[in-house]
Amino acid sequence: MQVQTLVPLGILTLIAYLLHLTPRLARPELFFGVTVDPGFRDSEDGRTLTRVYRQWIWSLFALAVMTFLAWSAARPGMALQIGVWGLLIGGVFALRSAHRKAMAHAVEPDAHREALLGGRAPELPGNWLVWFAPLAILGGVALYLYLTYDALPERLPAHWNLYGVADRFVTKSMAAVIRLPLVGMVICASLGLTAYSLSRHGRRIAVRGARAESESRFREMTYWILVGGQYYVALMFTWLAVVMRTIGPESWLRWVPMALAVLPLPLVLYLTVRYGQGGARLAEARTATLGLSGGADAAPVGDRTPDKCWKWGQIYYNPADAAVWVEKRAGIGYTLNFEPAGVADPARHGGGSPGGHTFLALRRGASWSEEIFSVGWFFRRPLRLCCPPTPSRTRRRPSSPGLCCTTPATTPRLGRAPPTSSKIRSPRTAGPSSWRRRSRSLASCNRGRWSRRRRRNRSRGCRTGNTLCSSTRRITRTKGRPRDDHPDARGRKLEGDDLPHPLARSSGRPLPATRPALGAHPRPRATPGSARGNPATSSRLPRARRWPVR
Amino acid sequence: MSVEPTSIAIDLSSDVPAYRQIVDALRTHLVSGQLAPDDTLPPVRQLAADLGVHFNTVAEAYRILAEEGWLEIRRRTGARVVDRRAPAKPATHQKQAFVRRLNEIAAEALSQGISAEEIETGLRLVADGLRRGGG
Repeated sequence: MQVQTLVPLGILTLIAYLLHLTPRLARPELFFGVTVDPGFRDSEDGRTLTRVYRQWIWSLFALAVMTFLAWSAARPGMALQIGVWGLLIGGVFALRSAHRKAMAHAVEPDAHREALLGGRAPELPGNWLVWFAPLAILGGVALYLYLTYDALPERLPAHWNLYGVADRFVTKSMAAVIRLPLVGMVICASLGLTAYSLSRHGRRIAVRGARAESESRFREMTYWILVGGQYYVALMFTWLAVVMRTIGPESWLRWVPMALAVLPLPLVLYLTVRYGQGGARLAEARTATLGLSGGADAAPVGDRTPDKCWKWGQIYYNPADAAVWVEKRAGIGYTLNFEPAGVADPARHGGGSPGGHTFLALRRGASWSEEIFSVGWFFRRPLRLCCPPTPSRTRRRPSSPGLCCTTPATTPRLGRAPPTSSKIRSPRTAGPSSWRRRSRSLASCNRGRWSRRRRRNRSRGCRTGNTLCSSTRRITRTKGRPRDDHPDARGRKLEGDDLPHPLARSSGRPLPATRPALGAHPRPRATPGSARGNPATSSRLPRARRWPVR
Repeated sequence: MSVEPTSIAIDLSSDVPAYRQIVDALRTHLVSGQLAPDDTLPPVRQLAADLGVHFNTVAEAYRILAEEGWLEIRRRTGARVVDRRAPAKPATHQKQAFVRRLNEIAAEALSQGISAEEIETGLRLVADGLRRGGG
C-alpha cells in the first residue's frame, strides 16, 4: 500500500479511536455529558450505551474509509476531507444520541460550590521568556525574510499538501513573504492568550484533597501542551517559510513538517489517556471519587456546571456563570462558556461575544448569512447609530446600512421610527428560553424609566412594548456604551443572581428568592458613620443590584 | 503540618440568595480572625468564576462587607481586609434585624425539639468560639 493511502487511513483511524475513547476519558460522574452516579458507567445500562455509541463510531469509520478509497484515485485531497469531516460530524451526532439516552439516568448534581480565598498561585509554568520565545523566533524569521527578500525566487509556494509537495504558488511580494511568520505569530499569541485566560477565568472544581491535586496536575499538563503547541507552531512556520520554499519536491526534507506533526502525537495521546478529563483518571482522584460515591447522601460533584446548560452535551451556554472556560464534557481539555456572565447580551447591548451572539441570533431565527458571515456582531453598533431602530427579536434585514450611513439627511431620529409590527415575533415563540425570557421581560419594562419608555413606544404602534423597549435601549446605549459590569446605568440589568439558577429549577425546589424576604436579611442602611459615604470603600466597585425599598 | 487554606462554600440550591451566603461565609472568617487585616480577597471575577455565579453577586457581597467596614475594595486587585478593631455601634434597624433572625432560628430550633437551654448554650458557644478566633 502506498504512503499516500496509509497516511490518510492513519488519520481516520486516529480520529475514530479518539471518539471511541471519549466516554472513558470523562470524569466518572459524567457520562455522555450527563451527571450520573459514578458507578453508572460500569453498570449494565452504561455499558450498553457505550457499546451502541462505539458501534456507531466504527460504522462511521468504515463508511469514511470506503468513501476515501473510492475517491482517492480521482481526488485524494477531497476524499480525505470528506472522510474526516464525515467522521467528525457523525461523531457529534453519535455523542448527541448517546447524550439523549443517558439523560434518562441523570441524577441531581451537588449544588455546593467552594472557592479558595487565598490568591491563586501563578499557574503558568515557566517565566515569560518561555511563553514569548516562539514569538521572538517567528519575529526573527520575518526579519530574516525581509533582509533576504531580493534573493528569494519570483514564484513562491504558498501551500503544501500532506506529503510536503507544494500545490499552490504566489508571485513574490513583501506581503507574501512575510505572511507565513505573521500567521504563525498570530497562532502563537492565541495559544498564549488562551493559557493566560484559562489561568485567570477558568474554574477550579475541587479546592482540596486528592481531586484538587489531580486537577492541578491536569491544568499544568494543559499549560505545557499549550507551550509545546507554541513551539510546534514556531518551528513549523519557520520551516515552511525558510526551508520549504527553497527545496524541490523530491527532497526528503519535505517530510519534516509531517514528522513534526506526528512525533508529539503518541506523547499527547498517552498523557490524555493517563490523566483523563480534569485528572480524573489519576489513581488518587479515582479513589477519591469512588470513595465519594460510597457515601449515603453524597451527590455526584460532576464538573460544577448544570446539565441543562450543555446543549447536546457538548456546548456550554450559561449566562449566569462568570467562568469563561469550563471543562469539556465531550473530550479532554477546556471549552468556552458561549456567553459568560458579564459579556454583553447582544439583544440588549448590541455587542457581545461572537459565540453568544451567534447562538442568540440563531435562536431568534436570524439567517446564517445575516448573523454569522456579516461580521455584524462587532460592527453593527456603529451602523445602528444612524439606522432606524428595529426590534431586537425580529429578523434583521436592514435595507442598506451603508447607504443609510452616507445619507444623514434622511436619517430618522433615534427612537422615532416605529418598527413594522408585522415583523415582530411573539416573545413566546422567539428568543431565549423560558426562564431567561421571563426574567428579561421583568427586567426591561417594569421599572420607572423604562416603563415610561415602554408606554411611549406602545403609543407609537409597537405591539409589544417590551421588544421595542430593549431595542430602543440598545440604540441609546450606542452613544456611550456603559460598562458591562455596571448594572444600573439605565435601568437595571437582570442577570446573575436575579436569574433563577438552572440548578434550582431543575431540582424541583422553589426558585431562589430574587429578593430577600422582607426583614429576613435587611440591607444595612447608610448612616453618617458608615462606610457607604466613604469613597475609598464605596466607589471602587460598581454599585450592584439595588432592591427597591417597599 | 500544612495549614488548610481558607475557603468559602455556598449552596446554589438554597433559598438563601447566593450573595447573602457569600457575605455570611466571609463575615464568619472575618470575625473569627481567619481573615486578618491586610489579607487580600480574590478579585470579584475570579471568585465568581470559582463559585459559578454572576460577578455582580460577588460584587454585591463585597460591597455589603465594605459598608460594614470590613473591606476596602480595589478595582482589579480584589478587596483588602481592613483593621476593624472597634466595631461600629449597631444601628436600630440592625438590632431589629438581628432579633428577627434570632426569632426565626429559635422558632426553627424549638420546632425541632431543641430546648431553650440548648439554644442558649449553643449560641454562647458559637459567639465565644468566634471571639476566640476558632471559627
